[in-house]
Amino acid sequence: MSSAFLACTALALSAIAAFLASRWWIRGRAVMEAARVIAADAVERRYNLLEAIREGIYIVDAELRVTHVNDEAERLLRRTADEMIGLELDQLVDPLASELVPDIRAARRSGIPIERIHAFPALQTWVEVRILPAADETLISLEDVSAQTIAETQLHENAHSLQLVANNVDAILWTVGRDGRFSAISGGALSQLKLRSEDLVGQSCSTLVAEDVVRDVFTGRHVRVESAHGDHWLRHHVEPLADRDNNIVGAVGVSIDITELKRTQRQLFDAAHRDRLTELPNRFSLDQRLQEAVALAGREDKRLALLFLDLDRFKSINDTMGHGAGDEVLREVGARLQKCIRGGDFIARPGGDEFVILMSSIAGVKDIEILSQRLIRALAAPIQLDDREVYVGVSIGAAVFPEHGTDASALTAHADAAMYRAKGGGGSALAVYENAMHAEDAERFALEADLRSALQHGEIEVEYQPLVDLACNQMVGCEALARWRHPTRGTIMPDVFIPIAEQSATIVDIDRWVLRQACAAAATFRTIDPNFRIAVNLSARDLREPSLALTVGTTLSEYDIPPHALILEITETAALDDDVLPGMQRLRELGVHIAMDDFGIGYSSLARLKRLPITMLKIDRTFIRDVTEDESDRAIVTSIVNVAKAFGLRVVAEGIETEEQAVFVASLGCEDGQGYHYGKPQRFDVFTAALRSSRRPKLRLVERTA
Amino acid sequence: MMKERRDVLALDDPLRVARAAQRSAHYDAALGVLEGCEDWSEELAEKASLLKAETLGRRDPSEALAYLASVDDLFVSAEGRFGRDIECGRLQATVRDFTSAESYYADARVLAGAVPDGAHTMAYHDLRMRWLRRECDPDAPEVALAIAHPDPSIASAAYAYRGWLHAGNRDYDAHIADLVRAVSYAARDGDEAVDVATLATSIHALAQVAFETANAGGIAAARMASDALAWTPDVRVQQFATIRAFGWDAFMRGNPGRAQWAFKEARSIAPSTTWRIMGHLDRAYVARMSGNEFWALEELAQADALAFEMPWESSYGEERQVLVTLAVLHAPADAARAQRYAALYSRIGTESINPALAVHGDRRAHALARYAQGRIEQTLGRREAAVVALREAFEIFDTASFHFRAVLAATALAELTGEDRWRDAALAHAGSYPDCPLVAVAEHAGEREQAMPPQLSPVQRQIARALWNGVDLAELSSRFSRSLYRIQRQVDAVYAAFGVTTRTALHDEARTRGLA
Repeated sequence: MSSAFLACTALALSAIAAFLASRWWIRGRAVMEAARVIAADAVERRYNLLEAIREGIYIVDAELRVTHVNDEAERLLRRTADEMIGLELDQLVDPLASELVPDIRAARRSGIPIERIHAFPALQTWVEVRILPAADETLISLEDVSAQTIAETQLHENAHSLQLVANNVDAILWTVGRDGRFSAISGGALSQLKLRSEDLVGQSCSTLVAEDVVRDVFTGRHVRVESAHGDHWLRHHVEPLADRDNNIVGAVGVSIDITELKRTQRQLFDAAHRDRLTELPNRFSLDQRLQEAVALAGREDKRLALLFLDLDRFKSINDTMGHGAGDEVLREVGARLQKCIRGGDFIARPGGDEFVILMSSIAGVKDIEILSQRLIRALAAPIQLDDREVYVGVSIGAAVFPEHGTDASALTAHADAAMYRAKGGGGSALAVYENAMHAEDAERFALEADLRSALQHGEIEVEYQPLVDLACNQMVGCEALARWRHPTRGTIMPDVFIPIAEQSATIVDIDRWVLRQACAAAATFRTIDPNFRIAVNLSARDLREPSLALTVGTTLSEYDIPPHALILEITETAALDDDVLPGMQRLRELGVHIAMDDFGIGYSSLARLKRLPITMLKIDRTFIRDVTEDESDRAIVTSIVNVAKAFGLRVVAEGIETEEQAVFVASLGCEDGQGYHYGKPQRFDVFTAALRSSRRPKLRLVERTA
Repeated sequence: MMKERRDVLALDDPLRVARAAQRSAHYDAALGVLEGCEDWSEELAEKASLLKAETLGRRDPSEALAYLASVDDLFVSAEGRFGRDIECGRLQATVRDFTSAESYYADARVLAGAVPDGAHTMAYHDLRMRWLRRECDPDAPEVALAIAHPDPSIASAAYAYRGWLHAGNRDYDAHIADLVRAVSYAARDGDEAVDVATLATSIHALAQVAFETANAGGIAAARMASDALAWTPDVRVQQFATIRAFGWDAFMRGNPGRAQWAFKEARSIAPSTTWRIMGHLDRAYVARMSGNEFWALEELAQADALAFEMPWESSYGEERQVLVTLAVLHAPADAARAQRYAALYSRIGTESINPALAVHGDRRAHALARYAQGRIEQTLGRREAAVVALREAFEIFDTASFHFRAVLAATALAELTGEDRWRDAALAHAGSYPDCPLVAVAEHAGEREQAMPPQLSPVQRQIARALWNGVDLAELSSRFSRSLYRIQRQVDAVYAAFGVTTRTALHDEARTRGLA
């Protein structure tokens, strides 16, 4: 047994005594380990005590000469024991050796241990140094605390970065303990929720997020959940907070204010599913609902009824009192009808002055009659419009599942047919579908028949409405609109006769005729303005004609009009089916523009919009009318413009009636505008004259007036 | 005893208080007392404003000259006018306008006979002019007269000036002897307090020259004077430089631990960021030379962090001194960074590198600048230019017995040329210091030590060399008096440091690095 070993053991024992004596010095594990080793050492005397201690240890004698060094100290001082033993400490040039000499002297003088952290920040190394003086020797222990220090620093830095993010992105960062109470909470969104961090710490997390969510996270799951907080919406991402041994000690969450996102989502959803005017579901929703209802009724062996409602005398209100009055009537009607329907029934406004009611479960036709009576009565009362009252009636056509049809399209067709019969009877009446009802709908068929000969008789005319570039406020094109000068019924607008024409192949003939007329006119317009463009409406049926592209191409070259000067407008409904895509694609390949007409009122799916080969979007007039006052309309127009921009589409605002609207929609990002503000549809000769005068140089005008 | 009492009682005499403050290098205190002294009673105002000018001149000679011009009509008595002319002459000489200085001194010479100690004072200023004009005649009559000045502050300064005259004659031992005499006033008990700034300058000069020339007696005298002196913030630059010199002396005498404490202490009072960087660089150098590359890199990194804050636009010597040291210390481990510092050095000018020596027009200052330039050229890979500059520097250091600098220059030359004569020269100069750690460095100069992995200890480096020279383990064991087991551990460490696993691979790697 060497004397060095004895000295070492004695010193270690005195060191441990001092360990215990000074509480702040204690490192439980090291003491336990040392104690255990001493016990073992009593049996196995050859054990090198110092090697068993986790810390680096070296010992210097009274002359500060190194006498013992353990493995960890060799590592920390990057020297072997052989190189160090016997050296005077100030020859052992190291912050953990020679630099400690003044401290060691001080500790020896006072007999009080010294503890300090020695930092090598640039090298990411931190060592905790303890100087423990004993009788004739001094023990220096070195503990590499780099890992903890780096972790703490990183934690601090991360917390700082997170704080920076939280304060600037409308988010809240928080942690909760296992008791479900906030241990920390901060972030820029707190003030928006009128919350204060100091009020929340120590309080239940339920102020922000349900306790169940946090309990769920404590099982180790990562949870994403949204919640309403007053009129704010928050999205929470919550994760377990684990300690070094992977025990879950709490949860950490970030709550992001998504109120704005929610609002936009809602608006886009509504734009897709709701009629803006009456706030009733639109055609898209109706189709969905009808499909579901039919499927469900089929499965559950129930009966359901589909009611088509068409307003009587509505057209005259629209024509005589303007669209504003018409819209007001539609809103009021929608509201009244909605009050009449039974719980579980579904009402929609697919377009125009049509409403549709789906009675989800009926016992028999009796139920239809009861509801119809209520509806007719509800509309019998006059509708107050500013300073006058108007009266509208309603014609109702009904078809019953499964008797009148077992699929949505059959039911729709039959309810529609029944409605025409009810209307034919003078209005304000119900007609339930009967087989062969189509043939009995005399008026409709007469109109259809008239329409077929209208082209030959030269009753279809084309009028032109200006299309204006909002940036320079100059007319850059026009839209060709068909008019039917009926010999006995007067002028019939396209929204009446086009749907009828679409029922037969007549629409194709009409549209081709309009296209030729428009191109002929455009040739004239382009002599006045070589960049003039012309827009022509197409129907879904046109798009299904394989020869469409050929017809368009031939017509364009016949009148020497470049393809890019032609805009073909199709409605959202027309673009609904996939089978129109090839037709549209061929038109695009030709180089003509394709615009989506009346965008926003009917069906609209962003995903679908993306798939369509369109180049322009015409925002429906109903959004433009109140755009200067109505915030939601503004939001819709903004959303549509943003979507259009994202897809690289040019945006046209329809129905501009005032300068204010024009300036406003231009500020929202619409490039082109159309509407009465710029001119109503005009016959060819009138329009040509107007166009010519608008292009006359100002100088000439001065000469002539002079 | 009576006199001391009178001094204490006289504390209410503002002129005495101000003079005491100025002498003890508390300039703000002195100027505070002298505030508005121009309006004091006639005789007092004359003396006080002269004292004020002297105090201002300690910080900015131009400001003092401007002040004297503004209070010119206060000097009416012969003593007052003499004092004014002497001070104006001194200040003009300080700003190197010797013609104006001589003209003031000519006026003063006329009055010298009419004022107490006038002849001594005149002689002292003649001595100073002699030094400024590089007329190195230490035996000129006014020199002895100046040294005999009754004012111990002036006598001390006169010894220092005579020392510089000796240095100009390359009589370096006489230089140190006079500096020792000059600083001896620090520990002297006398009637009148000796000017702290004068002593601080002499102590700094003595410490530096004594260390450079390995003059143990000079260092001991400087240390004694330094301990006796009451240093103040107004003489911090000198104090910093003095402690640094003591640190270098400790290092060269084989006590690197003590050197590191000294550098740490110096850094704690560093008068500027530049000098704080130098504090880190001193420690980095000593750590590296003591085989603790880890520590060296830490200090270097901290120096880099401070260097990052510097605008590096002044052309003061101290900035260039720091830049060249940064370049030299980075060169082995980070050549790109070293070159950036070298480029910066070249950009801000290549004037004198040591302000203290440069002021005295000492050719050793020129050598320091050439040495710095040589190291910069070396860093930038311009070998020929480096060798020319370093040879010139070495020759001056060699003849001036600036042993420390001579070791550095010769070692660099050995590295650049691989010539044995430079290694021998380096060893010869290193031998001037007992236990000089640079002996080991000089021995291996030219071995491209920087190609050695920095984590290897000096012993591991020796083992590495032995390994590729074919020495077997058993012989290593006996040669290094270590067990075979210990030796094997060292060999493993060497292999790991070179990134190899066999002796053949080690040999190839050493060859690649130009070590074998």
